Amino acid sequence: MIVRSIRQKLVTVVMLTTLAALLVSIGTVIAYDLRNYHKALLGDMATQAELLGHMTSAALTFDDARLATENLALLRIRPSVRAGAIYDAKGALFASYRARGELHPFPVSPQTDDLRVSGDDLLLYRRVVENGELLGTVYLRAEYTLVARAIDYLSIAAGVIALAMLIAWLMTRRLGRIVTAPIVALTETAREVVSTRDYSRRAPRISDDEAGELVDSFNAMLGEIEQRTGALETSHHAIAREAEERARAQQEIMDLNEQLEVRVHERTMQLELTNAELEVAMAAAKNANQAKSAFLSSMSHELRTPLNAILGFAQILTSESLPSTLAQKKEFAGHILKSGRHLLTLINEILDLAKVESGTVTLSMEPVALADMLVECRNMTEPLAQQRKIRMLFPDAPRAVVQADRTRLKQVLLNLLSNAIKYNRDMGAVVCDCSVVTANRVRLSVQDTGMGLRPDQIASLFQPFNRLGQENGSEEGTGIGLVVTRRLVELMGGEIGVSSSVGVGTVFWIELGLTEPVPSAVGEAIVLTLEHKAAPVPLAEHSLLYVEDNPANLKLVQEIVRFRPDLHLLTAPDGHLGIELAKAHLPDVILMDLNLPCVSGADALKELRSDPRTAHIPVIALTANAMPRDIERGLASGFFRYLTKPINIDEFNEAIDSTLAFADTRQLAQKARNP
Amino acid sequence: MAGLSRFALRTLAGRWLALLAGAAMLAWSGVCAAQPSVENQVKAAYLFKFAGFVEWPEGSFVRPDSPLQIGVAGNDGLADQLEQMVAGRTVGGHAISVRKLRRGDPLQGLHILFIGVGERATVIDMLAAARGQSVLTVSDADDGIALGCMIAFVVAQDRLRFDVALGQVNSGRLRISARMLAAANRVQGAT
Repeated sequence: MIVRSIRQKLVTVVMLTTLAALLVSIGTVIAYDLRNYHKALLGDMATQAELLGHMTSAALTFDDARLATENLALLRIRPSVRAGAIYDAKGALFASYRARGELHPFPVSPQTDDLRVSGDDLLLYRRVVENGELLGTVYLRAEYTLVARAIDYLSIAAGVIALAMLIAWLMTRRLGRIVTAPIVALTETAREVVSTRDYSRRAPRISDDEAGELVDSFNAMLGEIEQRTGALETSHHAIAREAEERARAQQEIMDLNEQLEVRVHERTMQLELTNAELEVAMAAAKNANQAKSAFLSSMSHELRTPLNAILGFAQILTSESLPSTLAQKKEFAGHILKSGRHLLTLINEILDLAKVESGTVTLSMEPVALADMLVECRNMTEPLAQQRKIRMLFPDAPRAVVQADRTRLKQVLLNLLSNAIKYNRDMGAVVCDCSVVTANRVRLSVQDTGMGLRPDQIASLFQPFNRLGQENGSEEGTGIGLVVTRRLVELMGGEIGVSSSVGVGTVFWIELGLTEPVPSAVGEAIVLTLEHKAAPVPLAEHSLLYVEDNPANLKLVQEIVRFRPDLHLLTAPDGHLGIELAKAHLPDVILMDLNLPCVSGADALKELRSDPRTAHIPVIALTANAMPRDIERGLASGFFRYLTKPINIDEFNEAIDSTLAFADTRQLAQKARNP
Repeated sequence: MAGLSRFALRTLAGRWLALLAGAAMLAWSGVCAAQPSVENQVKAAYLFKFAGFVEWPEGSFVRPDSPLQIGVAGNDGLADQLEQMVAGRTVGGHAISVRKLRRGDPLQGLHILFIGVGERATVIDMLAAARGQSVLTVSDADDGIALGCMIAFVVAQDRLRFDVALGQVNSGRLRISARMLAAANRVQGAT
């Protein structure tokens, strides 16, 4: 709230200044004028009196009152002179004049020279002296209007002052804006800024004087304030946001704490559960460990048992202190052979189990026709069954085609069939059946007429080395077969199960997925088989190179080849020598061990293949690397055949014969092309 | 001047008396040897006062303080009165001397010449003698102006007045103040 604005103050100042100037100037003028009036009137009257005296001196001299009266009458032209009179030398009234309407009496006698103001009249006496003699006295009475004049002047002055003040007021009101407008604008802006706290406002710059500079400074100040306020607000916001975030974080922490408590509780519960599970698992692990220990001890036992027979009979055969007849030697060799084969089976099965357990088994799933598969199995197991007069019943050419690994499926079926034969009674029966369970599922079952199994025996049926009461039985077995079988079935996406009744027999069954048959593969296989069988091998003198670093194996092959008069054997103890011998003698067939010193069998094969002289010679791998993957790799790298140790002599001879036949055929063909 | 003051101070009753006396003077005019002293006194005063309103040409006074000479002819009584009146008084720095003149007396050195009512020939003779000189000629003869006088006393309305003949004045190389002319009864020759 502004009590008196700058404008009002400015108006007041200007008005007061104007008033003072007017008062002084008008007062001075009035005083000067009144003084002038006074002096002029006095001078005028004195002159009048002097003139009148001079003019009337003749009249006085010659006592001519008429002339004097006429002279006095000239005062008519001066209305301010109200009365005039001339007295003679003796002081008697000589002539007189009265202005119109003047009734004032004349003084009785004249006085000496005098000029005085009496009320509103100016009284003047002037002696007329001529030639040093007093002739008379002139008397004049004039209006002395100094007061009235002063009053007039004052009224005029009042009017003038009023008018001047009015004009000054109007001008100040209008022109004052030039001064006040910038300040008023600035004040307005400042007030708005204070009330609205909007520091982005700017005062308008109206003038270029100090007010303009003030506006500039004010605006600059506002800018500074705006900037600082902005920064302050920003930091304030930041702080507020931070506080909010902190509060939120605190809330979250509290929530998390609650959750944490809940979770801790849960975890504690879980931990207790886990602990319990762990105890169970530890018990299981302990069991497994025990099982493993048991397995190892079992395996050791199982491996030692056939070795015992082999080494024992071999000692008898080689001992000179224990002479034996030829019949005895044959029998002992038969025991050694039987035990060695058992040991081989055992090792194969253990390896299988190890691979299955370690998950390194690779299956090549393909459609397999059950009919073919059952025929093969039947052919392989029937001789065994016939030894114990056990009848075998197979379904008639089932049409089912299953999705399975051919080799592994055969392994499974043979295992089941051989078990059924092995643990059957003499004159018993083995029934193999095939039935479609669901639209895409087929069940193969193998039933025997053995002793049957108790439920507790079934429970531990698939444990390694569990021979179910046959531990001390006459039938040899590894106790690993069923374990591997079950794993293989499961790997092929199938199921295996068993049901048994003691004294009646046991039924093992497997279920496998059905699939569509692939007819062409079957046909080709048949054609190939036919072709093999159709090629008769002509006997001829052939050379055979055997590259082997192990002397015992070398001796074995030498002994085997000694029974073949058609073969001439060359031997080399390492790869280098083997390659040189091959290049030197160009043998018809090369037998190659794979794990050779210096140059491996595979490298030696490459070397031979790269040489045009030896490139055509078929090479048969003979190695202890019996894993299916090794076999595949060997065949892929160019070996004609892949034989695994220990050597099966029949298989060995067959491989040699077929290879020689192949080489001869090719040689004949070449000769026919290049006679 | 004392005579004039007395004259002016007459009361209303005195005026009537003076009127009667004037009528008697008119009845005696021209022949009366022993004239009333009041009239002589007034005329003597007028003669003296004329000197104050007249300017003479240069050379009329030998020195600045040379006396102003008034000649009176035909009225010794007036001359005496005048002589008595002017004793010790000056006009414009000049003392005043009065001379009684007779017929045939030289007019040399006179500034004012009064010729009283007397023999007509004497008047004419003296006026002729004064003609051409710078002498203010005054007469109280009725036909004084016609005779060639410059100023002639007349009585009008019971008062002694005078006529002025400017032609004579100019020819005498004199100059009379306008104030005096304003007080004159009649001014002849005024253009």
